[in-house]
Amino acid sequence: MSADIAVRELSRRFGAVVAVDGIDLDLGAGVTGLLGPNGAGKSTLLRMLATVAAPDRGSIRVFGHDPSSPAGRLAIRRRLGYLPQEPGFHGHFTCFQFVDYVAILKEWTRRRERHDEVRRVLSLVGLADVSNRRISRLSGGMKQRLAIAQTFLGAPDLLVLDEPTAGLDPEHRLRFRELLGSAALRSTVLLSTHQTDDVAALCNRVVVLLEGRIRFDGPPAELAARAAGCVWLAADRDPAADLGWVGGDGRWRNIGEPPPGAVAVEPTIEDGYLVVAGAAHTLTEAS
Amino acid sequence: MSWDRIALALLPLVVPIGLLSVFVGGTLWPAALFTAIEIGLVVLARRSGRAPIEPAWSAASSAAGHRPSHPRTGSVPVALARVEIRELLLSGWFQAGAGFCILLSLGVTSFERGWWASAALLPLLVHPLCGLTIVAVHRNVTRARRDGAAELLEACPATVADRRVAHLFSAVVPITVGVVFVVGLLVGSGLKLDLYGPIDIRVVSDAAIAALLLPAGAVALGVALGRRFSFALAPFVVLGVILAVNAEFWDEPDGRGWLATGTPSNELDAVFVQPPVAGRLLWFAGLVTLVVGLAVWAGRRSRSATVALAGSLAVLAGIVVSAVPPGDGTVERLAGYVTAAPAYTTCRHLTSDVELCAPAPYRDHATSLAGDLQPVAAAIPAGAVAQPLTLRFYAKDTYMLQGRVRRAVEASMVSDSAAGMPFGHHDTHRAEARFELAAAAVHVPTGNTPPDAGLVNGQARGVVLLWLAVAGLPRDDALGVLSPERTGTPTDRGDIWPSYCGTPVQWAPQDLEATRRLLTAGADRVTPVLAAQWARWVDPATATDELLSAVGAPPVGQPDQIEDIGATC
Repeated sequence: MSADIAVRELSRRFGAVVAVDGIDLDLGAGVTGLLGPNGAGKSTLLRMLATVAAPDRGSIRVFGHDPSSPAGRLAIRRRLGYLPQEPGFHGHFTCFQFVDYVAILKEWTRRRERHDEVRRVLSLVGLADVSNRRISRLSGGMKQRLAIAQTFLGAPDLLVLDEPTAGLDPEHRLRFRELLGSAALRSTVLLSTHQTDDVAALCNRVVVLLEGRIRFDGPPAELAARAAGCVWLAADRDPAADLGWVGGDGRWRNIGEPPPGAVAVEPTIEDGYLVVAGAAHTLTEAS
Repeated sequence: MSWDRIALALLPLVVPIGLLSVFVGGTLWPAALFTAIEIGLVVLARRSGRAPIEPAWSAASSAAGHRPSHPRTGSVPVALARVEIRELLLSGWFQAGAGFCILLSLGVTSFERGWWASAALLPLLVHPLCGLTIVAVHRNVTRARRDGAAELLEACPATVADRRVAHLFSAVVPITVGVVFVVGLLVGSGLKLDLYGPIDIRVVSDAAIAALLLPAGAVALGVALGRRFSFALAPFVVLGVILAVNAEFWDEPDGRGWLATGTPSNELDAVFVQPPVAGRLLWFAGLVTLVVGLAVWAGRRSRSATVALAGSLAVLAGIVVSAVPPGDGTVERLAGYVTAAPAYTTCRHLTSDVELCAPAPYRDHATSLAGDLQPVAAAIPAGAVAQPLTLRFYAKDTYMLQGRVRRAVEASMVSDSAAGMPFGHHDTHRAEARFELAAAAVHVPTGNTPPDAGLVNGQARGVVLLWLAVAGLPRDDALGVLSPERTGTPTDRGDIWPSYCGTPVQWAPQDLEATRRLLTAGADRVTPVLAAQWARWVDPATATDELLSAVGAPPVGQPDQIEDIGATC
């Protein structure tokens, strides 16, 4: 069975900066989380998959369609829900008007059907009660939910979400997980995030991107396992640790090469990500 | 619609309504009431916008959505057009343009020059609406980029071309406003001011350009601009260029003056600056097609837009090439009209001493005027004037003539003493012609005369002038003309040229009263007296009371001292 998304040798440069560097990736049903530091190329990759940016080299196939052709782009966009990293809004539109406008752009031309669909997605994110409020009067979190709402118009087969939980408070993040979990039952979801707990809770697969290249691709548990034996607790910060911080219980959680006698603890995805990304080492050097 | 939207929508109306209430109603209270309502709406809007609540998400298990059914061709731009129409209607820039239309409707009270000349001004008058429409549409087209929403919208199936077409469809808004403005202004002026002259294809052509083509072109230009130049000042730069082009053609219309968007097609008179109606319509239609093509053209893929662009360019080029200054024959003919050359002028005798001359295109107008002038001419005693009096049309200005015609006119124009009316189908002609003929009969100069030359207070010839000028009018109409009050008649301030730059003829109130006494005495008593001593009565040294005494009417006494008001502009 072929993958919903097939990426081969994908590259994109911005001047001298290589944002995406020869990526190969196959994605199927379920939720795939994209982790990586700022500037790793996550958003560039998502933008190319969402057909709003073209690669310099390589190929993309989404549901078998090639986004480099107008017909292919159209076919992909008809099955796509896209949330950019920094979605802009027409502040003088109401919530309803904005989502309605996007719905028209998504080819909902029959007014009654479209309005029903707009009400449905606004209800999904809890904005039905403020549907007639101007967007400029919404809080940051409500704007983010509005951006999420438009991605669900028409129950798309592919959801490309760039940091969807940015600006959401803990309760709304949990609500979002519930919504995305339901959507993943019938859609392919690719989300970029800095929230490793979101990845742990939602994703059946995680891809770590660093300097435009894939450094890890596998289940979240496997990512966590990369830090196995590299995390230990101690009463003080261990000088041998690459990174350490005091937890709520007053004990130091150290990451790095454990000293003899250290008692390793169960690593998290965050630990695994830090180990894969080498961030711990980098942070230590910086300090 | 929320309170703040209503408040926003009504905001641009505050100023026009304020001005309306002051200048038309003569009171401020409607403006004050409207402003209070507006403030109330703003307060409501602020209250309704306070403290955003954080509503909860609904259960994610809501019924799953479904895909839209496959859209019919063109249905997406049509659906988007509804949004763009709403956005254009709510645009403050567009509303300001519509407000200008209202203000101009109020300001154009001098729409009294006939249908042709009035209609010729319409394209100019819709320029504020069209200019601000360009700004509004440009802002709508660049909205996504300005708000940072371009990426989100670009990921949707509807293409950028669909969105551009939707913006073009929003032209229905300024076109509707344009139609209401143009039809309202013409009909309103026609009813109120009794415009006259023929309502022919030229009037319809100018109205169509103003109401349909220019607003449509403005929207297309806004789209084309927004597509290529997203910076906010872009439309203002283009407006500056349009203004400069119009100013250039306004000062130097020459043979291509009518190609500019705002230059009146027939400022002097349709007879002399004659753009071909079809050519002018085609020119503006070609301009609109060109900018529409620029708005939607997307390279080789858009074949129809390419054809439209190429076709419109060919048509426009053809019109520019063909719109050369007129040929020798035309120049001679048009100059002949202006200088009253015998070959191009037809004269008719009203009496043995009075003739009315007009160029061929004014034959009908002259026939109409002749009916009005006949009683005046008949009231001049036979043989009283040394030379036959000739009344004809003249060009009060030559700068609006085509260049070659103007030069030919200036070379051959001779200054003569013929009285007359400026070219144009003006509704003031009937009164002006009466006074011009009467003034010529009694040797009172009109037009650009030396200071004090028009002061006839206390002079019998001034009274004779007035008596002749109202000859044949119903008694009430005649008394109305002679009212000392400011009535809007040619005798206002004693000025027989109320709408023309010249030195006016001025009477004293006693002269108006003396004329009323002559009317009371009746033509049977007055005419023989005038005929017997015409030279005496037209002598500036003869006083008003001498004439009254000869007729047997009571004297009016010493006239008021009148201060020369000088040229009227």
